[in-house]
Amino acid sequence: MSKLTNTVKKGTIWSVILGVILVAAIVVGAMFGVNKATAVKDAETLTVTVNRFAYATQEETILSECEDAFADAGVEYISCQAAKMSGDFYEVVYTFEADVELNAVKEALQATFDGRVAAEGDVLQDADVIVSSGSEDVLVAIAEGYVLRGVIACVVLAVLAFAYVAIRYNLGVGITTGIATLVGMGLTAGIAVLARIPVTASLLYVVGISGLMTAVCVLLTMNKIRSSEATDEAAEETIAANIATKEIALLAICGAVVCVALGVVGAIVNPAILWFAVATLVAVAVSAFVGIVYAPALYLPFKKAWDKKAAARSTSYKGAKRTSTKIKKIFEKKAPKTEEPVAEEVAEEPVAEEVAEETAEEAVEETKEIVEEAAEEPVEEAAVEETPVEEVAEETVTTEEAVEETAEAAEETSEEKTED
Amino acid sequence: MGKKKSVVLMVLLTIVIVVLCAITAFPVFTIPGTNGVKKWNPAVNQYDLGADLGGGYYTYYYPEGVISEAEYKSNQAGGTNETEYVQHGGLYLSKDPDADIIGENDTVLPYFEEVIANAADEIAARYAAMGYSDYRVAIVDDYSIRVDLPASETNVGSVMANFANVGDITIEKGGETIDELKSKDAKVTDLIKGFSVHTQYKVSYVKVEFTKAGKAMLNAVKGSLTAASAGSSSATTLDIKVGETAILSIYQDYIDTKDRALVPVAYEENEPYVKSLSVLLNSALENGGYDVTFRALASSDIRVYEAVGGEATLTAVYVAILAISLAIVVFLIVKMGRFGVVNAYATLSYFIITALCFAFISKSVFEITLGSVLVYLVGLLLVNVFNARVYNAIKAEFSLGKTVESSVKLGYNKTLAGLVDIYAVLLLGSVALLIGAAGLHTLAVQAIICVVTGAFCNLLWGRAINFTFLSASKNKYKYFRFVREDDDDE
Repeated sequence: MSKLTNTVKKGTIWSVILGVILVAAIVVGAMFGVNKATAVKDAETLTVTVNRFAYATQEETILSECEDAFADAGVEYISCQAAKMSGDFYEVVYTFEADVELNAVKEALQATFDGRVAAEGDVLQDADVIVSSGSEDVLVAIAEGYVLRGVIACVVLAVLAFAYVAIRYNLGVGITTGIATLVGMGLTAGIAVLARIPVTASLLYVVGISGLMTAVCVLLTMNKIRSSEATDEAAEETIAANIATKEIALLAICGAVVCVALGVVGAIVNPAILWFAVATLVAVAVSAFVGIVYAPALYLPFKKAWDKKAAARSTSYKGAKRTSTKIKKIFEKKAPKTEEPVAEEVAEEPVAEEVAEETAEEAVEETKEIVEEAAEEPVEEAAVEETPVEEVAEETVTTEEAVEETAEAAEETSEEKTED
Repeated sequence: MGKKKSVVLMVLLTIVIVVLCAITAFPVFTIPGTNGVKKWNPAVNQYDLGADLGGGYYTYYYPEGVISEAEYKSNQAGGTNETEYVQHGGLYLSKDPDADIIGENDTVLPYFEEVIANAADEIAARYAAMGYSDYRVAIVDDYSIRVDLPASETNVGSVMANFANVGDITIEKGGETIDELKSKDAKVTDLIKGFSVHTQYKVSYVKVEFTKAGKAMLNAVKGSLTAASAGSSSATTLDIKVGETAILSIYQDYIDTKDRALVPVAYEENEPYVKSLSVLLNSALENGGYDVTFRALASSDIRVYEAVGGEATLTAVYVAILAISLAIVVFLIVKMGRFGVVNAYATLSYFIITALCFAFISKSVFEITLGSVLVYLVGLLLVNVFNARVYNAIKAEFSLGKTVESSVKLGYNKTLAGLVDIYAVLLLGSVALLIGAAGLHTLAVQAIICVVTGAFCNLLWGRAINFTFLSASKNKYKYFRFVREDDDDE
């Protein structure tokens, strides 16, 4: 028995577990909201605007002074965005959590820059450096219609996968593919919400692509199961023996390598890429799980029903309904008599006495037939040779005596056999 | 195929692939002999990048009578502050009665916050209609608006300036409102059904559809309009204005036989800009105007920012893609022998086709985002894994005692149906994702490109390359790294 046989049998349990995860994600999302990425949540900002900007020197100086001021005030920023404007203007915007108080930091930083601007020989001498603060309430970063249409697109993806596979293979495989694809996308989104992965527009890309990856993994397994030769094994054994574990594992490992590479890039240059890589890793793991564990378990009842139907079809086949009566008679005549299946019960061995009696009776009858035939011969010969009737009668009587003697001998033989 | 022919074909194929790879991805360099004027620009440099990879633009919309703290302090230092202001967070609100912002006791008038919020919703809807993968609209200190757009927007100045216009829509002829709109209850929607983008003969137009009443109006004024071809300096046109700005000017010859106006705006390459005008006009037509005017945007008001990590972000992503591709290809060459080299050629073909398609399908918004990188990598993995599947199938046939040629044929045939099914489902799934909006719609188009290319490379191109290479091979067993059992015995 394959190790996967046990997992294949637990379709209901897997469905319950996945259902619990999805419900938990919905509840957590409803109660606590999703973890919005920096760009999509309300924040306090601190902006340093510089006119007269010499790129290399002044940017480093500005950023360095800001870092020192934040360290002194004990505040931490979420993100820093440096921007250039036409002419000599340069601006850097620091984003903080919405509950951070920035007035004191702003005053301190302005005082520092005012000092440097007035200082002789300073790189910021005579520059206009203005520090201002503000608050931002994000109106939209991911449009509502964007999410709704994305959800609809994912559902249609699953439906189209079901339709193609159901037409190409059979309804059971189609239903398995459709449900598994939908579960893959839902699970990816659910785990992203539960793991508090920052939500951006990019997360919807990952969910959409997870649908495609799940469909591939499921099809690899379903293809292998369908291609396997029919055996007498139970359905769960057949399925467990034909899961495309190696291919899906290879895909998953390569996918994980991709995620690690992107994650390294993200860790070095851009946190948004890091979180994107984490979300993709979740999608890869979910696709592999659905392809190796959940889809085969989901397919088991369909396969059992299919096997049952196939078996019933093969034993109850009675031929075409519309075959003509004449043809049927011809085939009935030509077809060998098929013996009825012999009952598996072992027939009782006939009792020895009964056997002996039957044998004796048969022997007597055969002997009588032979003698009768023999008796008829002299009469016929006499008829041919014109032998006198008395002689024929004597031969006939003699023949009859011989018959009686033979019968007695047969009875004695049967008694001896019985004794044996 | 004869060996000589196969060798020639192999060499030609290699040259073509190397040249195409160079066109696609060879780094930028100055072409010698051009005095530094001309540069080699690979296809990958021509991508429209999303905000995560390419940065973007942002600006602030300040209503008339509202200035930023930086501007206030700058004016203060220069002695140019003529009016008094009330500070509100990082903004300064003018106390001038004409501005109609500050009421008694230096408090902001109640209507002002509401009108700003409504105008912000309208502006957000306009940007949503453009289909950007990344964009952001935020209300700053309650009375100004910040807008962020990705670097892919090439007409950022015009778009940002136009979308800040939240005035009423009106129709004028010769500088005066047309008679049909002079009555109190008259609305522009009585005359105009809507605006759309129309492209013909490589020119993008804004198409104006009129209602029955609008067509009657058009016929009445048509004769008095100047023809664009006349080239007159004092033309009489039918102007469609939003606020004080004339967005469209309809000349006589812009009106077609179906009583529609086709106003040429830009060449086909600039269709996104034409789309922005259509979005602005439809938005003003459906929702009307708002009782606020935002200050005109100057080019110096638009900030340009790089992606977090700067240019290093994109370079790092390309390096990661290269490393992943090399790792997979080298691994499969080690595992599969010369068949791995065939796989390498198929992988390079996949890279070339998708990279060129991503660069040159430029109609409407086609941004390269992190999702594009992911969908490309998924396609790359599938091409390689499925080639490995074919190899394993060939190996399985060979282990049954068949010849190499027979094993190859049977191996391909046995895997064909499964691969066709997988690519068919992927194609249908990608088509389904077209339902998504903005970035997801673009991702769906990119996914279709990757799926079709991957299917071509796996099902046709890879097989053709294998046939060529196998024909040229001296030892077919070594080609696949196969070992016969009787060879073991020897």
